Amino acid sequence: MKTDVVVIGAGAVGCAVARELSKLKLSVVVVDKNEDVGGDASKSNSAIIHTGYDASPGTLESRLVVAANPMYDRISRDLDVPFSRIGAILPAFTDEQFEKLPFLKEKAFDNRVYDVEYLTGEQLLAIEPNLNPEVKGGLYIPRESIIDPFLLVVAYAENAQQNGVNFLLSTKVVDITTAGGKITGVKTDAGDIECDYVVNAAGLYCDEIASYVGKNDYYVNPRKGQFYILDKNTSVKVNHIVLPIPTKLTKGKLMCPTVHGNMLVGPTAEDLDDKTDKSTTAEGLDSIAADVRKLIPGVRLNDTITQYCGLRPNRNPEGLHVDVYDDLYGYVNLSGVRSTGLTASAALGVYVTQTLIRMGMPAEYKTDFIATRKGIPSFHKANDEQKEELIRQNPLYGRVICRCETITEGEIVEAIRRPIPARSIDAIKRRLRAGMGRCHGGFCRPKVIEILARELGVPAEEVLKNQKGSYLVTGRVK
Amino acid sequence: MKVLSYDVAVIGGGPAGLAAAQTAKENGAQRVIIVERDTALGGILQQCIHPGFGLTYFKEELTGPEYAARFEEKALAAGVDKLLDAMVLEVGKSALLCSTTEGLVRVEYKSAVLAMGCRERTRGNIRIPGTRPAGIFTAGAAQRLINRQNLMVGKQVVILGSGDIGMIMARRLTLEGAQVKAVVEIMPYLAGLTRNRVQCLDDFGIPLLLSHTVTRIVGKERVEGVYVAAVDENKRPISETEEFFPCDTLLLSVGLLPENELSKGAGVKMCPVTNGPVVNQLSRLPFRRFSPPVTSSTSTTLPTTFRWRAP
Ligand SMILES: Cc1cc2nc3c(=O)[nH]c(=O)nc-3n(C[C@H](O)[C@H](O)[C@H](O)COP(=O)(O)OP(=O)(O)OC[C@H]3O[C@@H](n4cnc5c(N)ncnc54)[C@H](O)[C@@H]3O)c2cc1C
Ligand SMILES: Cc1cc2nc3c(=O)[nH]c(=O)nc-3n(C[C@H](O)[C@H](O)[C@H](O)COP(=O)(O)OP(=O)(O)OC[C@H]3O[C@@H](n4cnc5c(N)ncnc54)[C@H](O)[C@@H]3O)c2cc1C
Repeated sequence: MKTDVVVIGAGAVGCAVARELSKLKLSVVVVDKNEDVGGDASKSNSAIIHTGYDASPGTLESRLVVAANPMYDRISRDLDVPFSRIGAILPAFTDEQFEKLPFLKEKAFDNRVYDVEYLTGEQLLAIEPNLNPEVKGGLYIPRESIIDPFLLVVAYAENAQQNGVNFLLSTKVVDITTAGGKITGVKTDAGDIECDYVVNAAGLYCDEIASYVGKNDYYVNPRKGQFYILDKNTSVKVNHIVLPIPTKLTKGKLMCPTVHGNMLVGPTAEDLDDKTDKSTTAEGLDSIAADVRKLIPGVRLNDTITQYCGLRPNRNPEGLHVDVYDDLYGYVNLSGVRSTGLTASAALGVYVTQTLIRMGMPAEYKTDFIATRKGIPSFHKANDEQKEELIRQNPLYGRVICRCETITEGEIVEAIRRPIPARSIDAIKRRLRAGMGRCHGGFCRPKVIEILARELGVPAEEVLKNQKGSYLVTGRVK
Repeated sequence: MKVLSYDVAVIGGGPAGLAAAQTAKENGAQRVIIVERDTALGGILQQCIHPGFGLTYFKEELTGPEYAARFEEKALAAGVDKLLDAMVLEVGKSALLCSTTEGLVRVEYKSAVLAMGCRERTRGNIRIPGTRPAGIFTAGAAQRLINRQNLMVGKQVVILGSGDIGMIMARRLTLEGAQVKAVVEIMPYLAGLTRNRVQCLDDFGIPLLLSHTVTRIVGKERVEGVYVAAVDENKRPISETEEFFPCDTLLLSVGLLPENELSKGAGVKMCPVTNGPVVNQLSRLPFRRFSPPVTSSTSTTLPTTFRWRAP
């Protein structure tokens, strides 16, 4: 296979880069070891589109996040991604925390986030009634927002694909080839690809990829973050992203709504060595409970429907880097896209593309770039008339498969037939939320297995939860 | 939109719904319909293919589907209508909104019966730490896969929870050639019937670990095993007793929760203790000579809405 650019990694960053590159007359291939687009960190995070108010002023990360935030109004509209500008609050409960507020405001100012406001305790309680009543005052950061992280990545990818980008999934990059100080290709476990440019957006594994070209002057360790997701029906909710005042050691644990109306509580921050350890722990989950009660004393963690964990790619030495090298033409290395990468992805798309162009990559825009992408029509969000129309067009839209989130067979079949098809239980879950509700698939999973087997034309034992080896059933009964 | 008009609309065609519909009909309701999202009536009984049903009511031993079929026959013979493959989306003050492959259907009613059954508690509800591989099933989902879809869920199984569904599944899995390594119960006593313990566990040599729980799930793509530990009198795991059980499947039989969404949507008051509707056990019912085969017939806080539970 031959192409101009290979992007390694189909997470938020890789897919955003691919979408931006697809505006140019270039051939682009995205390679990912996973069975679906969506990345690793990109599917297990707090789903917040940050403003950059608390970044380290002057850093690349600060510039990217500050630039990215306003881009989401348009991205969410053009790419049909649930997004909501709910705003964040940063309440202070102790004198020590209260005295920190001016510094935090000054930092926001340094980051050019000029719309951060001071609110009194009374004002905060008025907009967030479940807040700990001891609140003395705090900051309001109006443009901190929430997004559907799964759909964001799928949308970037689908739009890139509409514009000619090729996605090679379940394909692992195992080496990069160079000659005379130039990139010549990448080797994968499914064959070689000749190319002139490589973008390393491999997240947690970006150090391994960098080692293939001898540019691993850093290493990455995972920093685990555990979360609770609470039922939409939980009685103690918040309207904003409620953030704790950070300490020297940690940014702390927050509580916020998701775009679908659940409550998200977490994350922890635990440094690990094992890049594959995605397990939740009793200690981690207990620590969330203790911390979040300081913000929202009434939080009902018993209403949890799931707990999960994500791994932040923590660079050593720290910092978000986009590096190019005088002695290696065609290579862009991203590293340390750690805690704000979901947000930064939009700006990184532009930044990386521009970096390649500066390097000498030909830059001719397509006149026929398709700027918008439509998601799968949602039965549950449609009004009665639209529901009737959806069923008329496809009778399977009348059969509800996931009872908790009201997802129909029509939507599931459509997800399987999209250009970047959902081929696993988790891929369907991330696109549609079937199995993400309060019964967590107890009701729909057996049916989704049947639908996937039928649509893919495989026996049920070949239907996977996600990766190779994650089979759900072993075969027919005796 | 298609509109149907009935005196009594029953949501759910499980044993409770079937009995309610039949009884309403027998007691003078003119037009009665059951709306059921499945393609057949019978509810959960369709997947309970083991015998043991009907001993009290029919004085003979039937399997779940046989038992349900008897009720279905009686109800249909009495003139009850059914609307299958139809999900009730909303319960309004005087009509149900249902979704079918032929379009939305509005079922107008004078009285509605809420008989939607239960859902099972999940891993997330009871917060078992560890990884999130394939191979973790609620017992009812596994029962459905095996008995209705004829798909086997695993080879080496640990079951958490000693409720009847868990024990019945221990036997079912063993009969299908799986090895059930243990049934683990956090309480110091059995949750289900002693009869099931004898017939489903003891007869097959399946160990029952009382005062134990699963403390951690291990496995990347598929379950590779679980850690099991004894618990103290506060139900907290005693870490020194933790032991690894290699297995590819974990079944959870850790309780049922009422299926409440419709009731809540309809404005029925909920009880924080039972998580079910606030009911009046002694309420007057609109049809006389009422004796359905259910242990509790109860009216909710809404005047025309009843919620019935089977034994
Ligand atoms: C707990 C937690 C909370 C967070 N909260 C937020 C938040 O609220 N807001 C925010 O903006 N950010 C947040 N982040 C950060 C954000 O999630 C990440 O910065 C971002 O997702 C990184 O995206 P990525 O595409 O670089 O990496 P990933 O999503 O990890 O994608 C990397 C991809 O590279 C692939 N890959 C790796 N090696 C190879 C190989 N050899 N061959 C082929 N493919 C390979 C992987 O399979 C993976 O799909 C959070 C992160 C965590 C963990
Ligand atoms: C997994 C499991 C196994 C069991 N095993 C046994 C056993 O071995 N022996 C025993 O005696 N008891 C068993 N029980 C208990 C027994 O099944 C129940 O007591 C009995 O089935 C309850 O009857 P029901 O009609 O209330 O509910 P169900 O049988 O659950 O029927 C409810 C019906 O309502 C339908 N419904 C729900 N919501 C909607 C909606 N919105 N629109 C349309 N239709 C809807 C459902 O599809 C279902 O058919 C088991 C229960 C479960 C959950």
